[in-house]
This record gives sequence, C-alpha cells and structure tokens, in this order.
Amino acid sequence: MLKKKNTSLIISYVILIVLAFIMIYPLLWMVGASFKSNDEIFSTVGLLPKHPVFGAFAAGWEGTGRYGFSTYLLNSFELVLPTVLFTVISGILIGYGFARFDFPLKKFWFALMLSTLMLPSTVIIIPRYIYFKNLGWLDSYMPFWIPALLGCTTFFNYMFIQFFRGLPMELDESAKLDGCNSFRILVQILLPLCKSAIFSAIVFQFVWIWNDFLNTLIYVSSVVKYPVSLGLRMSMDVATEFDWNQIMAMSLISILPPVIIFFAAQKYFVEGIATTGMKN
Amino acid sequence: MKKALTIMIAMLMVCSMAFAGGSKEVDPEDLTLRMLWWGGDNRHTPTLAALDNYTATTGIKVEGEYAGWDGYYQRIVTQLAGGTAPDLIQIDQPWFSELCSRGEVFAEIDPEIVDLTTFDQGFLDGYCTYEGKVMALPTGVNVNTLLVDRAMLEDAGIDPDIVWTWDNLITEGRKVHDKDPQKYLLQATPDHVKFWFEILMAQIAGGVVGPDKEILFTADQAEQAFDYIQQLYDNGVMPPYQQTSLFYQKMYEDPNWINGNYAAVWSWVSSMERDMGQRDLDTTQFPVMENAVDTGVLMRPSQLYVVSSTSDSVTETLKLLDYMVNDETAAEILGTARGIPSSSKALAVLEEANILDALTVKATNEGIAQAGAPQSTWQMNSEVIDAMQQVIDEFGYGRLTPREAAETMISSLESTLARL
Amino acid sequence: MKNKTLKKYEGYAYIGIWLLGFFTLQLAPLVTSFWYSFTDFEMIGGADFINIRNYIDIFHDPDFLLSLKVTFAYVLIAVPGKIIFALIVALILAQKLRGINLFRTLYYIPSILGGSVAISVLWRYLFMEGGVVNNLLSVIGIQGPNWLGDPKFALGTISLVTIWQFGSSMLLFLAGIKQIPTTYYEAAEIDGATKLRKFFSITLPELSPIVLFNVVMQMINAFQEFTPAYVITQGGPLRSTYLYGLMLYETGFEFFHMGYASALSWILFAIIMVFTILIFKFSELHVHYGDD
Repeated sequence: MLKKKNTSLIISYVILIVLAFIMIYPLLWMVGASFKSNDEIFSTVGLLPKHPVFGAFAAGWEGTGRYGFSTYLLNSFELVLPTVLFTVISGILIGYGFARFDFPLKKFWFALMLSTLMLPSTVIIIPRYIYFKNLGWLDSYMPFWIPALLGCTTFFNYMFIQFFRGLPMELDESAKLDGCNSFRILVQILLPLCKSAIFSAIVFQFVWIWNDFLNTLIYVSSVVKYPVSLGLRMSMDVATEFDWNQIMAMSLISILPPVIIFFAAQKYFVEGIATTGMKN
Repeated sequence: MKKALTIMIAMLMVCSMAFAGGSKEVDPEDLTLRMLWWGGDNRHTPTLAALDNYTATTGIKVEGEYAGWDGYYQRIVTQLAGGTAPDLIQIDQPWFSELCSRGEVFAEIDPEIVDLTTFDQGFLDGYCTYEGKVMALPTGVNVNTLLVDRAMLEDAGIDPDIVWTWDNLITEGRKVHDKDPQKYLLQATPDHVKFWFEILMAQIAGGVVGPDKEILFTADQAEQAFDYIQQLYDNGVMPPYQQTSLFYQKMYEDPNWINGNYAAVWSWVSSMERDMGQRDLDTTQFPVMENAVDTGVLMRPSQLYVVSSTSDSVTETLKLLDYMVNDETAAEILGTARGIPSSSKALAVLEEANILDALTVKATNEGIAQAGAPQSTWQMNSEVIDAMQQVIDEFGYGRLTPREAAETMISSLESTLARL
Repeated sequence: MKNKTLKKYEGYAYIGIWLLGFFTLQLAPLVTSFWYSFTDFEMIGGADFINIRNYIDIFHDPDFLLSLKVTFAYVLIAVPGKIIFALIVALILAQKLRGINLFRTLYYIPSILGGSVAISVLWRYLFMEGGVVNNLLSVIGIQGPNWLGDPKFALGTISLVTIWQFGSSMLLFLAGIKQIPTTYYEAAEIDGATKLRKFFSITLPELSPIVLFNVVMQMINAFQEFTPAYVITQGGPLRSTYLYGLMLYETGFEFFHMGYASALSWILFAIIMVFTILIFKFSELHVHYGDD
C-alpha cells in the first residue's frame, strides 16, 4: 500500500516537473534574451546568452523621450486596481442576483447578458469609441473603470453565477430562517465560501487589464498616461532597428506585478470549503 | 417593466446627447497642438527635442504623442473616424490614398504657409497629391536597394563587383548554392517574391495595375515572370518558398539570413540598417532588361506628414509642419530620424554638417539613378496587394504552375479591382 | 401581498447595476454595429443603407466559407484540448504535495505571458524547421515537419499555443474543486470507491457548473480568436490559419469595409448563439447545481 502510494507520488512529481519546464520555457528564454543582442536572439534558440550584453534593464527602465518606465508602471496600477475592484464587486452582486433569485424576465436578461460576449469586438470598437468620445471619456481610464463598475464584464458576472449556484441552497435557507436578509446571506454566508472564486476573478481581471493593449491603445492617447502595455511597445518600430533585449527586460519587469498578485492570492486556492481538498 | 425599459432608453438618449461634443472654439493662447508619430528611440528623442525647440522659439505648445508601430494604423483610423485625430500625423505612404479616398480627413497643404519649392515636384505629384491637391509632405526619400555580402560572393567564385542582369542572376547566382547546399544567393520571403514579381512585371509590361484600375499585363507576360521566378527556385538561387514563408514581412528575423546563409536581399534604404543587423554588407543595383518598359525600382517617401482636417488650428499646424520639414535648426536636430530628408533645404543642412552615413548616401544615389515610375495607387491598395500575395503563395507552394499562376493572377486581380 | 411583489423583484436590486450598464454603455454600440451591417460604412465618412447587400455578398464570398471551416477546426481542437488539459492539471495541482504552491504559480505563468510581445518571436523559433521542437524530436529519431510552414500542421500548432495558455480554465477548476465539501469524499471512501469512481461520481458532477462555464466561455472566445494567427502566421501558409476573426479584422481595419465586417460579425454572432443554446440545452441534463 505504502509502496503504491510512493510510485504514484513519484509519477505525479515527474509529470509536474516536465510540464513545469514546458510552461516556463518561454519565461526562461526571455530572461536569457534580455542579455542577448538582436542577432543572437533571432539566430539561436539556446537559453543562455553566448555573448552577454548588459544594460538592457537600465536602458529600458529609463525609457524613451519624456517619461521613464516607472511612469507607465504607476499608470498601470492606477488603471488596473480600480477596474479590478469594480469588476469583482459588480460581478458578485450581479452573479448573486441571477443565481439566487427568481424574478420576471430573468432568463431573458441572462441571455441578453451572455450575448454581449458573442459579437466580435472588432466591429464594436468604432461605435464604442465614438460613444465614449461623446461621454467625454477619451484619454482617461474611464472607459475601463465605469464599464467595470456597471457590471459590463459579463465573463465575471457569469463566473460568479456559476460559483454561487454550485453552493448548496440549504446554506441560504437556514440563514433565512434565522432572519438574515439577502444581503447579509451574501456577505456573511456565501462570500466566505467562494474566496477562491473571488481571488480567481481578481487575478484574471488584473492580468487581462494589465496586458490589454488594443483598448488602451485606442482610449489613452497622451504618453504621460500610457500604461505598461503601451509603454512596452512604444519604441518598437517596424522599419528601423530597436533593441529587443530592452523589450524582453521590460516585459519581464511588467509581468512581475501579476505574478506577485497570483502568488499572494494562491493560498486561497488551497483552502477549500472545509479545510482539505480532494484526497488521494 | 415596460415603464422601466422606457425610462432606461430615455436615460441612454439623454446621456449620449448631453455629452455630445459641442463645437470647438479655441483661444490661440491656450492652443496646444498634438503631433503623432511612430518610431524607435532614435526617432522619438530628436523629434521631441525639435518640438521643444519649436515651443521655445514660438511659444506654441506641442504635445508629442509617440508610439510604437504595433496598432498604430488602427489607432489613427479610429481617431480619424471619431474626429479626434492629432493635428499633425505621421503616416505610412501606402495609407495615403486609402485614407484620402474616405472623405476629407486631411487638410490641404497651403503653399502660402509651407514652402513647397524645396520638394521635388515629381515626388509631390506622385505621392502627396490627391485629386489635384497637395495633402501630404514626404518626411524623407526612400528607395529600393539590393544588399549584398561581397565576401560570400567571392567565396562562391562570383565577382563581387558584378553588374547583375536577369541572366547572370541565374548563371552566376546558382554558384552559391552549388558550392554549399545550405546557402543561397537571394533571400526572398513571400513578400519579397511579390516584389520580384512586380519588378519583373514593371520591366516586361510597365506594371501590374494602372492608374485607371486597368490590368497592365497579359497572361503571357505574367507567365514569363513566373517562369523566371521558377527558374530562380529550380537553380537554387532562392531558398525554397516553404523555408522562408514563416518570415513573411520579417525577413530580418530569419536565422538563415542573420547567420549568413543567404548572400543578398532586396531592401529599402530606410530599413537597410535593420536588415543588415551585424552583417557587413554592400549595396548594389537591380538587374534591368533591355527594352524594359520601366525599371520597377521604387522610390517613395519614407513616411508622410499629414494635417488633420479636424485640427483646432490648421494654420498653426501647417506652420509647425513647415518647421519640421524646412527649418534649418529642426533639420539639424532631427538628422536622419526619418531617413534622408526630401526637402532640399534640410538636406543641404545635413550635407554641410556631414552627418550622413556614406553607405546610405551611396544606396540612395544608386536607387535614384535607377528609379522608375511610381506604382499606381491601385497597385498599392491593400486589397490588391493581398490578392497578389495569395496567388504568389499558391505558386510558391507549388499549387500553381507558372501558366496557371499567370491566369489566376489576372482573374483574381480582376475580381478584386471590380469590388473596389 | 405587497411584500410578496417586492420579494418577486428583489433580484433586480442586485442585477440593477448591470441593467444600467447595459442600457447606458453597451446597447448603443451594439445597435450601431447592427445598423452598420446594413450599410456600406467605410470607417470614415457616412454610411448609406444598402439593405441586405452585405449579407448576400458574404454568401458569395469564398473567403467566408474558407475561414469558417478553419475556425470550426480550430474550435474543435483548441476548446476540448484546453479544457481537458486544464482539468487534468487542476486535478494534479489540487493534491496536497510539497511545493505545490510553486507549481501552481509556474503553471499560471503562460497565461500571464500570453499576449506579451516578447513571446510571439519565440513561437517561430520553437516550431520552425530547425527549431527547438524538431531538435528535441530528432533526439528520439523523429523527423519533425515544418510546423508553421506546412499548411497541414499550422493550425494544429497555433492551437497548441492556445492550449498552452490553459491557466485561467485551470484556476477555475481548481477553485471549483476546492469548493467540493470533503464530506462527500469521506462518505465515498467509506463505501470503498476507487479514485476513478470518485472522480466520475463526485468531482465531475460537482464541478459541472464550472465545466459548463469554461466550455461556454472558451467556445465563445475561440470562435472570435485571431491573435495567435495574426501574430504568428498572419493567416498563412496558404490561408490554413485564416481564422474568421482574422478575416473580420482585415476586412474592417485593413480594408475599411466596416459595414461588411459588421455583417460578418452578426453572422458569427448567430453561429455562436446557436452553439451556446445547444450547449445549454445539453447541459440541462448533465450539469448539477447546488440549488437544484
């Protein structure tokens, strides 16, 4: 019995390690590439630089023109943190509304909400841009904050619906008998049970908005307000040479905050509904 | 419920109307111009310095909105559609006529404000004029050049000073591959093969698509061109199509090129440095056949400056534009941030300051000496280019014989042009 | 009585913000793009009503069918591939193993790197003829193909890139697994259930709302996907990776036919809608909710 357990443990680890290598190979490659010249980046696939070039981090951090990379980092936080907060709050409320209440037209609203995801954004870009322009939101982070506040992030609404629906109804019912109102049931009973969903939502939205290039490109036009996703690409030209190692170096720095957020949040994926998860 | 709906729709209406932008009345004192360009560090830094200098001398504030190439086109298209485009915009040459044809998005360049006499008239007519009005100014001159690795040629027993003809491109060119099966004379990614097709068609038939949307060649003529390209492959002058297809529009990222397995490549002077990387290369001229209708060697502006028609002050923007292209101090600050300047005034400043790179000057002169007529705007249309590229892809992958490729090219262009 | 009516509408108190958001922010652009699909809108300048011309033209457009085929193939490979992979990894990561926290972070890194500019370069070197993957294969004596240059393999390779970014699906599964009350497993263990049995009789049914969520979201996304094809292969070779989303983008933003692109989008909308409805119908039989 013990022997069998050990073999399965070893197999688990072997799979874990092999997969882990595939997963982080690109990251390792980026680290190596931030010490390579352009020619070496493009002509060899090895991880370690043969002729290391230093200074990519310093040069990239200094940035181009009037603003350094630290400006873009701060901007990214200013853009991302409120968006994440708003998304999670609205997602929880809307998800709870759909998951635990019956009301007229519920199915219709749900279908309508889901269908907003089904139209490719390519054709929404222009009408949305003109609409937001009329609202006076251009060159600000409003096009990110306000839709998040008003729950226009269907993915998260639906995600919370599914997580709430996965929780046993008895929880609510016994609380109701104790005289709790619906808001208290949400806050005191249900939320503590879906910490993992909440932290998933935080991580997802953080990463997505942090990396969002297309929308920031369109809505943020002043360089002083550029977030990291724009700042990273602002020296990349198609026709003239630029230093890829600086791009690699700053890409690495820019993924640090999401990685830290994830690492910090991940202990909540370990804690399940009742101390332990699936047993082996 | 219905009531709630009605109220919400009403709210939506009010919202969108209340915020609808009013007319713009800008006090000249508060005027801040916006200028948008893409580029790398070596363009951003001098441009910002030139703008600072402009503010210092005129008191007009200019906000530089600089960005990378990724998404740049989408950004200006969106801004033009929304009427929020910056006052002065750098655009790529092929976009010009496509953007102009969508309506009055750009302001006419007023010769009273901007000195146009410093520009070559043919250049202005060919690339900056839309429906008889000058709507753009070239930032610099850009010409085709053929980059060659002299050492590699010598190694293969080819005279490095060879004057290329279409015949010796095959008879001599094959020597590189014959000597070392890893190596080839001519690097050609799919977009390059399209260029070689176009230069052949220019020499055989005067071009691909004419100014009146007409196809300029016959199936026999196109077959001749495809036949020739087939010979380049068959004789090992160019590497197999599949091998290079991955580097479509990214020739310079091909390890085979960087590692010196290919000896020559078609390039633009403005991108020469990027394409050379760390290789030590020379430039030379293109083969031209006897009785060629046109040389097919292209000369065009590196980029264009345009003035947005929705600018708060077209006059002030034009003054800024004149400063950017014609001012001597600006020319000195900007240097070759946008290629060799096309304004004779700016060029004179750089020549005097002696800051032009010798190989760039050589390549530019070689190119100008060979330059043919500009391609028609139809030939540069993105859908036409896409149609051509598709036929060339099928030919390159061996799905079409030269004859079939020639016929497909005509039918495909016909249907594309009919749609435009 | 009054109280009862109020109860009936209590849900609106929670979904009210969404209604507000939908009607003030989302509806107008949607309606506009629907209107555009009946016009010859070309991005800049006005739009003239041309009835259903765009829709008729689309059905005569060979690219339409071609990209639809490519997209269906992509959805069929990428969606199940990603979900099954994510589920397997989530099951492994849900175990209590030493150092599992580190592995969890490492496995999520591809999803953070996802759209990074730095990565797009890498794919070509991994999968080109003499690239890393083929070098590894040659060690075990396999002559690898030109993964991205051969029309037969390119779409599969692109799908692999998508599957590699399985992190968010995995995380949701992990969160879902953690929500399953341990008492269920304890009960099963007393009955002497095998691991496999526990998976099919407890884990999968309890996880089914999340499975449904992942399937629906991944499918909706996959139908609209264009980034990997755009960045890595530009739709080539020989249009073998010419995804519908890529055609849309080209038509709209490169060729300016926004009216036509809008019509293309609404057709895709209808297709996605049909598949979503089918999935929901199917799920009614198989998804198990705590509130049933």
